[in-house]
Amino acid sequence: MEKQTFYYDNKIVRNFALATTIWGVVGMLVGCIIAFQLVFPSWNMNFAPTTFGRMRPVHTNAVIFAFVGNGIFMGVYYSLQRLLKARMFSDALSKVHFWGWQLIIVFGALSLWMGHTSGKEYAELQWPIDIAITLIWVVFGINMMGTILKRRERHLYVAIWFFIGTWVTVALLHIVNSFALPYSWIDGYSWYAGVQDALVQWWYGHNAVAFFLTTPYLGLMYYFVPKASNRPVYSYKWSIIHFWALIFIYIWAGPHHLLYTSLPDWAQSVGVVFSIMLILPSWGGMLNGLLTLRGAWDKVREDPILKFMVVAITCYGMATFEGPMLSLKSVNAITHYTDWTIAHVHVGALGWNGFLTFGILYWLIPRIFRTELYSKKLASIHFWIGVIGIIMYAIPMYWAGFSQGLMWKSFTPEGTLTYQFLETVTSIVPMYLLRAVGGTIYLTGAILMAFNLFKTMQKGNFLAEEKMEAFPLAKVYKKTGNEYWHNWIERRPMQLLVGSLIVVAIGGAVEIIPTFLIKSNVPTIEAVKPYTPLELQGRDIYVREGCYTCHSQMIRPFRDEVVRYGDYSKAGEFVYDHPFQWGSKRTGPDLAREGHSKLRRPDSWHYNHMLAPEDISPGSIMPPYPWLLTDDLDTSNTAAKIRAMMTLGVPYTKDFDQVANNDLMKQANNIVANLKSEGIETKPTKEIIAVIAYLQRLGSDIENVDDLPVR
Amino acid sequence: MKRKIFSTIALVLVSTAPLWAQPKPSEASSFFSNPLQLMLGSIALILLFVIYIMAKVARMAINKNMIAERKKRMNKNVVSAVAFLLFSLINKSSFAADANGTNLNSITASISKEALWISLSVIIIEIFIIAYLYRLIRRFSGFGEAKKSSFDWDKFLAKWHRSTPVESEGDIDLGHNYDGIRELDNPTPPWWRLAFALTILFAPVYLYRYHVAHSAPLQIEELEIAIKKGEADKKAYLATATNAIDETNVVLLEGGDLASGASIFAKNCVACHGNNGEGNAIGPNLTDPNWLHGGGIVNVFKSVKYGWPEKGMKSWQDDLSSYEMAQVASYVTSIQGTNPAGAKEPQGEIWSEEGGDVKAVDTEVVADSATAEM
Repeated sequence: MEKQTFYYDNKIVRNFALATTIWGVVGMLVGCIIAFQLVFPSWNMNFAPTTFGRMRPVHTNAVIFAFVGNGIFMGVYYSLQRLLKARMFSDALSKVHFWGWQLIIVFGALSLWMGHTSGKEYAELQWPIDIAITLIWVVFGINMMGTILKRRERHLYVAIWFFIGTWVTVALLHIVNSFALPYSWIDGYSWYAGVQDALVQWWYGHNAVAFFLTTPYLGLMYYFVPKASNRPVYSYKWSIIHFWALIFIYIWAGPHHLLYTSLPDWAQSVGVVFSIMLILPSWGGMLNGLLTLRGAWDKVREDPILKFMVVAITCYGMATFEGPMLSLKSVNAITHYTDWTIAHVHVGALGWNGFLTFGILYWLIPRIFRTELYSKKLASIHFWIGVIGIIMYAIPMYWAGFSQGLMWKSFTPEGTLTYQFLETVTSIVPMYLLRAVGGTIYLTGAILMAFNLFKTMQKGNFLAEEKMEAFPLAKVYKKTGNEYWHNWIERRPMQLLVGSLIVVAIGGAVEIIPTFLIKSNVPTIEAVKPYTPLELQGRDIYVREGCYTCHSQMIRPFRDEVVRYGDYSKAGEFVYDHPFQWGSKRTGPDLAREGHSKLRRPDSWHYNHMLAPEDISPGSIMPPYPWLLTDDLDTSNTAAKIRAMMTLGVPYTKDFDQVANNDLMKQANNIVANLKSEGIETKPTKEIIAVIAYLQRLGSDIENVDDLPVR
Repeated sequence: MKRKIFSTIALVLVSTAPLWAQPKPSEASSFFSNPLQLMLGSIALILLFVIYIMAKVARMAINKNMIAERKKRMNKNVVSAVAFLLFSLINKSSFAADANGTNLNSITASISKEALWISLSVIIIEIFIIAYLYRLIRRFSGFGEAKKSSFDWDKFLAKWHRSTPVESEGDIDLGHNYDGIRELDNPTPPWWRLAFALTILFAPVYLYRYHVAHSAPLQIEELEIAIKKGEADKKAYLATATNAIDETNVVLLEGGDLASGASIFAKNCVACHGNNGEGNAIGPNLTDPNWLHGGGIVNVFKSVKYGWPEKGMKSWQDDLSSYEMAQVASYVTSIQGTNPAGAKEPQGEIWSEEGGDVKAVDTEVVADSATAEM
């Protein structure tokens, strides 16, 4: 057999590296802006696209899918070719993948700014973009599996197991969760409603963290840490056991995002126990990475690249220990819906994803540009700035979360709430300021890196085609001596792919299918009726403006929440909610019973409050929404929306879509008359009328129901 | 020499002392009840401790390695450091003074601004000192000499993980070579396997307790327990305290209570009743003699307590204690006839303390008794 000569494609790696850097800076910049918006509401600029509710999804999607996404592809395209001794399967597919992904990012950001959102966190992009993501993901999959099939290395290295597991699971999660029924060429309603939508969404949301932010990065860790430190992987056996344990257990843990909600108790408990089980598989990855550096700690002291990697792996360990702790009910009762969650994800995002990406970029760019890093000192400065940024971000947020959680729960001896909701917000605003400063420091570090890398590229000499020689694989494989059982699947990529799919599908199926099939999981409430056309339009505006990024609609069965907001939420109240709007943090109060007589405010209150929240609630950090008062409601799609809802099983009477707009105008006129009696002149065609209608409906259905189900 | 450094540090610390002492005694209680200040305070204390340790280390290092030439350079450094620290100190304090006038105040409303800025300045100064000490230690101590530990961590960890030492790792090299990456055949650490087994065991125990034995309360039972306990606590409190104020015994409060009432009013009522009770598009004027639901402390107290939900006035009994409701009702009663600017037109009947209107109002509040009287 003769040695074959071939070339590694470095150009695609460079392109993804550039995209990672640019989108990273952009995504973090948006993050800093929204962090300051929570301190200075004037930063919302009275302009819909720059208002927090629309900016926050842009931030989360940008850092997850643009920054980390491109980081994954950069690392995969670099390491895969070298681990398999093969060029990428198809240059054309590589190109389609790269440009397709960048287009998705641009159109995704634009659509979010324009208010086209599915209203499901981290899956906000609407159905046409979801389809584009699926197609590009398939392109990536074909390119990756094609490369694997024409490899010149018999066995697949652990990094590639993680890449395959990532690919198959993300495909599954994305397709199942994004199921939607279009009512226009861009917008649609989530296929699922209420409790089921919540379960599917957090099965997705949790595993987006697991299989987009974690497993591919573990793959990158297994390649770049041994390469950068020139040390052997500590334990091969450990990598096998923690890989399979991790992907099997992770998929079950989603319900821990829904503790104390209307989700059935059994599903919550399953989420808790699997979260606890996750600690050691996660730590297996962390320790196998850190112990790989045995004998190289003197290098860590000198080399900023290794420093970045060590802190990244350590943050991974911290976040994956903290996560299971937050899944314990007693801890969750205090931390959930507070900024603790925000602190937790940022330890992972800034520490694990950010720092590992930085380390890889500093290592990889000089190599493909055949030069030394422009300034090692600057990289070292970046490291320390980044560490300070993470600390300045995380500590105030932990403190804010903890103090707000305790303030919510505090009662006077007389049995009344100690703090109004607003007080619990104004007291943590200084923390928000410190956090925003911490984030800005971190961003400064990223900008320094961009400069450093740019200078490196400038002085270097880019090697687009890297020459390599290797023997092709023999047709028949002959076993050599003592073989470990796991080698079997390492030679069989397709079996590995199917095997991972089966392993991850089990947990999802066990949790999700019963909630759809067993009726007792969602006891129905007779009094809960579908939204009127005006309320439905108002709800869509609520979703469009991203109100769910600050307001929950889920009163948990806690004494303080029942006293503050009214009776705890029942599963049967959400059966017509496509999508569910339970939210994940309360920067503002819960709105599930906003229209119930316990909390109900005059229509004029809402009108004035949307115009200038700070005038009505001094100290409020809610952004103003003046355009709702001036913009006309688009009623041309009312019929289509009603028809879509009917297809999804919402029981409107036959042909109701034909008269929906009449019904809408009637209700709007009533609200306008009511506003007039309270001294406000407006027109029934304005968007604010629909929003008021929706807010006043919330929680009012069960007002006079005596025999509510327990769950 | 060492004395000089020490006196420098002492000087800097002493110079921060006025900042620490600045909060007036009366503010002390609020200082410690605020979580932010508590946090900043603890950070400052921790850093102070770090400084203490580092100063000691620096002193030792300098004792060992003092060289005449460096000594000279040190003197310069100390002087410049002191100047810098003092400058930053002055800078910070003047900034703190400026900040009082800016709208930054509104965002830190619940905290004493001075205390916030003082704490932050102290922390920043402490960080500078730490950075400076760090440089000192680095300069005066050879790194090699610091490594004199009696405890061998590497050996301990190797035993704990059952791993083969780095020196003999060639014995367990699996011979894999993926782009130059080798893999070792270390076992998974025994403690890791045990812990993994325990977390798996946690699952059946947890599920058994909650869903089979029912020996731990599920969320709805938890709520019932919490409400019962809350009611018992409340009952016990009201039984012993003289705090039980309701509409049968509420009286007009005066003095400091009016001030408290005013601040409750500013926090909760101004959105609908105006800054001075003049009323606005949403709520009625509270300063004129006309009342929709009756004036006087008893009626106002009742309106605050139970609200008029159908008219948009919410019930405050879950949010305010009965004493607080009495305070705010007294404040509202006290602003009668103040004639604030922009007062809303009168609504409802003219009400007087002696007039028979009290009865009429009562019938409105308690519909049953109204029927009985008719």
